[in-house]
Amino acid sequence: MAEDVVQLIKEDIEELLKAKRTGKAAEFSGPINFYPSEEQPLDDFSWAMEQAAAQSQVDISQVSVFSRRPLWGALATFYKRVVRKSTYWLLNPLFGQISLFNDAVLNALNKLILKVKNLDVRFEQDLEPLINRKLQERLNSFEHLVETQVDEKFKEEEKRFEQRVNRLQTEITCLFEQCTNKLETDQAILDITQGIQNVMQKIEILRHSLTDYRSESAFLRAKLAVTLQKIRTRKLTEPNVSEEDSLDETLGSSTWLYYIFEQQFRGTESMIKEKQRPYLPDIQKAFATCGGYVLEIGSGRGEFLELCREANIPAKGVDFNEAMINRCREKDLDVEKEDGLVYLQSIPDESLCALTAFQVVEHLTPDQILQLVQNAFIKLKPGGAMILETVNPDSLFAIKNFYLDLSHKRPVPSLTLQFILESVGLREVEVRLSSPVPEEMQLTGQDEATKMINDFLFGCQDYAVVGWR
Amino acid sequence: MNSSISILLPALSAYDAIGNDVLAEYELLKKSGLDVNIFAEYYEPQFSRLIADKKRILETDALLYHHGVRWDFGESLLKNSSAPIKIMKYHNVTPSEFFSDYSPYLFELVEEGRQQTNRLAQSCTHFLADSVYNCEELLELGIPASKCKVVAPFAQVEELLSLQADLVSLEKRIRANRIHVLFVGRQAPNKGLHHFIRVADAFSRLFGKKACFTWIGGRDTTLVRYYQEIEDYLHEKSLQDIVLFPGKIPASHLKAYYLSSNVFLSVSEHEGFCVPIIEAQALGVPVIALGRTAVTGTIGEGQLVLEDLDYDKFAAAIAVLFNNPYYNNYVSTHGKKNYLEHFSKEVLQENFLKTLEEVLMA
Repeated sequence: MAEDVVQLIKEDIEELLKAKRTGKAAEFSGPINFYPSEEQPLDDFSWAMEQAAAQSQVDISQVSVFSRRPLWGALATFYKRVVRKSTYWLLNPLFGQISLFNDAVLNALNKLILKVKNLDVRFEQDLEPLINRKLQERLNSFEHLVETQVDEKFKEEEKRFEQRVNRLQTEITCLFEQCTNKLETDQAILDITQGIQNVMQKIEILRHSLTDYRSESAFLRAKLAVTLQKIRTRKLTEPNVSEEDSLDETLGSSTWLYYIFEQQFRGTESMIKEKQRPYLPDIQKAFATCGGYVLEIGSGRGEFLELCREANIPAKGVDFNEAMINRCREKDLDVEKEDGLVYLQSIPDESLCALTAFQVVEHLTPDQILQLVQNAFIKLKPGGAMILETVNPDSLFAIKNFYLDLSHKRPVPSLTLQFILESVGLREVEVRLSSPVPEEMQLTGQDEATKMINDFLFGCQDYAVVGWR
Repeated sequence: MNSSISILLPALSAYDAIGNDVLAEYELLKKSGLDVNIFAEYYEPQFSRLIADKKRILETDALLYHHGVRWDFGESLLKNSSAPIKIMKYHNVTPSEFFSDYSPYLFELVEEGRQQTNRLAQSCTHFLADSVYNCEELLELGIPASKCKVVAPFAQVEELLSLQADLVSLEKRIRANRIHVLFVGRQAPNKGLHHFIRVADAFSRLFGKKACFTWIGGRDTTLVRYYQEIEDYLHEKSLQDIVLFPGKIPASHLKAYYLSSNVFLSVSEHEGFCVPIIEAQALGVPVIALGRTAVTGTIGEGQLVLEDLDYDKFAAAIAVLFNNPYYNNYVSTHGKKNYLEHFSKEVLQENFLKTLEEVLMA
């Protein structure tokens, strides 16, 4: 059965193709009729009538009196026969009447069927053509009526239209004259304002589309840049990081030394955690928008990963310092010992809700910063966030401490970092200052000059750029 | 069954056919009371809690190695393990000729993957294949038939069935008032994307631009030349508004695409199983397919399978199925039956457990 229908479908396909190729598509017979014909109900009814006629006669002598019981069988048969015979005179007239009634009903039904069939034939022979003819006549007269009326109406409308056109022409001429004479009237200004508003609305819609296209093109541009970089270095899976410049080299060569240095100069873990807490709402917003997970480059002692864990946001850290990795693993955090850029390139595109790097970019060369931002951009999901925190070179106090860390390469001004994020394609990029110098260390005085000197000497020590995909 | 078993795969990630198979196997075996571990060299962070230590893997009684791509580390694990039972679950590796004109990188990768299949056939003791087609490939390598069983992969069809479809996409597609033809899978030469667009062209030529051909699935960065050929063809035939590529989309959107489709069209030339056909059948979408490799086995009975790559014939098949409600209903009913009888979660679970028990008890 299954193969039969599939075969039928295939035959229909061939038939349709043949019809299409010969330009006779209308000849395609189309679906097969799987439903009973219109004649079917009447035929079924005739069959039912035949069955009823066969059962219509009621006769007491047809009632069986035979019994097969052993011993008692002959006696029972005899008894039944006696009863049938003795009641025959009483019941037979009644059964006769029932048979007569059955015959009458059957007769009436047969007449009805005949009538229906005749009507059917008459309808086909006489009434259908008659109805069709009448319908055609009515249709013709209606068409004629409609045509005449439409024609009249059309002429009327044409006349009215001409009149209106003439009137409008006159009005336009008047208006034109008025406009030329009173170009600066209130009405004209209102019209122009309305026009400008419409145009502004259109510009706004276009601006939205443009933003979307820009975002898309920025993503593709970043992807292209990364791909070109790969082609240039002829490495498909490895990043363009030379040995002497890699993060491993700068941070990993003296793991214990750097770990102790962090303990002493960066601050306690709880303090750093509190400093990083203000960025958590951004991460929560990004995670709620696009899912995925957070990747932290240079995760250090895992303060930010802990914050993410507390907020139930999946997060992973990458660091090259063995001592830092061990500290994170003590806290059961998900970290990997790997060069940040290498790891970033290995994950699928559009898989992160956020990328964070605290106090990392000052360890990188300009090329590496650009590569980091480009790669991070294509790994972010739409709606994801990028947060890069570093030392604020606008504060002399911060600059004084900058070279305490020997692995620092150069301070990166906030405007430069903001520019890099924006040029790669991130949106709504903002600079946020953090770690203010305690007031007791600043100059006292409320005058403008003291304020300016305080800002210059004791401005906030860190800043972060926050951008959105 | 009270032994310990480790499931090995190169990478564990969401929305991946092998990943879905592994996760379902893990849950099922754990529920059955088995000591079960997963090992993946690469994995997404959300799966980190499932990944066992390499040392633990080497100590287990049995290994279930998922093979679908070249994996050197996995092969070394298999060699170093002293487990008496080493099972290979074969998902098939695409033949290299599909990539020879487009990507030397993929060509080399699958070529080496196929060579690895030969080596793995020597080091494994038992074999599970996704389909009869995969099983036949293994038998050709000289593996005895008694060691090789067909066990279909677990897919997330039930999840798709219970999911709320994205109403915006659904309404948009239904309102478009066009014949929607769909395929779901990676955009790759073996999946027949170049045939798919030619069917779209044939349909437009024969029946007018009344249909919308949608291909859902990601692109491979190394197949740039292939995609250029596709774009050129679409441009030349002015089919850009007929053939659509929404890329990778969330599951709720995917369900909306399935539900609003009139036909699921597969012109794939190489499949190890083809999960999307089962998804389409489960959601009642009639399937038209090119009868190659594992597709013939997966699709089941009473389905429209065409043997020749005649684009006009595929186009006519879409028109006939769309215009005839009886045929349409017939094909989709049989598709649903195929899913319920052979690929529903209960059936797959029973088959997997039974087969694994036979292997572990042997």
